[in-house]
Amino acid sequence: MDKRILSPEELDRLHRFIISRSARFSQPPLLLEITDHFACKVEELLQQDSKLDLEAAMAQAHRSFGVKGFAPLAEAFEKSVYHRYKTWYRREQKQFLLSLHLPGMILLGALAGKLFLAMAHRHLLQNGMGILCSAELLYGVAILILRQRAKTGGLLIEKAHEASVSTIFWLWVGLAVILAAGFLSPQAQAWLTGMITALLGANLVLFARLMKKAATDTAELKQQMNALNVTPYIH
Amino acid sequence: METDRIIKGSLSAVVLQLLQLNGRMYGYEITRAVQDGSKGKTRVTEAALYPTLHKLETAGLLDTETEMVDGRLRKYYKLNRKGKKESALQLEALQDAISSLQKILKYRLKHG
Repeated sequence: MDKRILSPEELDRLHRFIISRSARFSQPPLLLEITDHFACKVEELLQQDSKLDLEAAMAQAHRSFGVKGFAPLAEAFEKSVYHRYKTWYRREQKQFLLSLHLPGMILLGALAGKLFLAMAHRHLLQNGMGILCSAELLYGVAILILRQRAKTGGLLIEKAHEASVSTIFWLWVGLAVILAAGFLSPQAQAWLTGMITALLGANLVLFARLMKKAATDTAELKQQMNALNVTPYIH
Repeated sequence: METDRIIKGSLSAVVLQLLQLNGRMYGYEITRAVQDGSKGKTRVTEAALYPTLHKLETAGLLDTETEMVDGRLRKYYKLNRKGKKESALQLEALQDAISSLQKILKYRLKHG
């Protein structure tokens, strides 16, 4: 007997069935992750009982996934995407330290420190602290823009965004330095200004790269979804 | 049911060994292999299989390939070099555990 294979119309109904279980499953990576396994199960049921209609086969196949349905699959997938981006981000951090970006960032830090001392000497820009304040402001705005874009970018960008939570940490470190500035000598302030400025610059470059990677992955997935004609469901 | 639970505890080793023997496999194929290989006595659920596959992938033991099959995308999992080494280690550990278990189950106290 020939193997029962779902037709494009039946696959379309299968996609609609999956998405009807949770709007989250309309995310392209999740839909792709669930579809093949579910379709294989449905095909097997239809093969075993030729009288069974597609709706009944889908309901039966869905029951066999257990009480939580597709949720454990989706959860495991999301966790793996998160870990994949986290691993990528850490690897990029290490590579950054070996790249030509490092001398650039050191130079930026040295420049910020030097500028701080010059401003502090002339009692300008809040005795130099304005430099770190400006760096913090620029960094904060850039991160905010990138994160806002991430909110509407889909699951992969959302996970990449979660995997790079340390970008916010450096913003807080900078703020702590600004608040503690009154208790530190001008030399210590100059050092910290230089260090934090360099770290903010490095983090911004790394974060932008991660977001770019997630955006590229999302675009590739959308292309695959276009080839499968399932784009109408994607939010 | 009890067998399922015991197998679930060694699912990583089972998946690695299945991939070692069969080259590349997709998720549904693995669930079928466990069921058919145990002559229907054991069943691995999707809720157990996929977290295991992703865990092995994250640990850098598996590579994936995606292909269009029957009008949909299918993700194949296969062992990489690190995975092949780990598979041999886990199989050995599993066999040791089975042999120890067999000895324990036959053990009687001399002065019991």
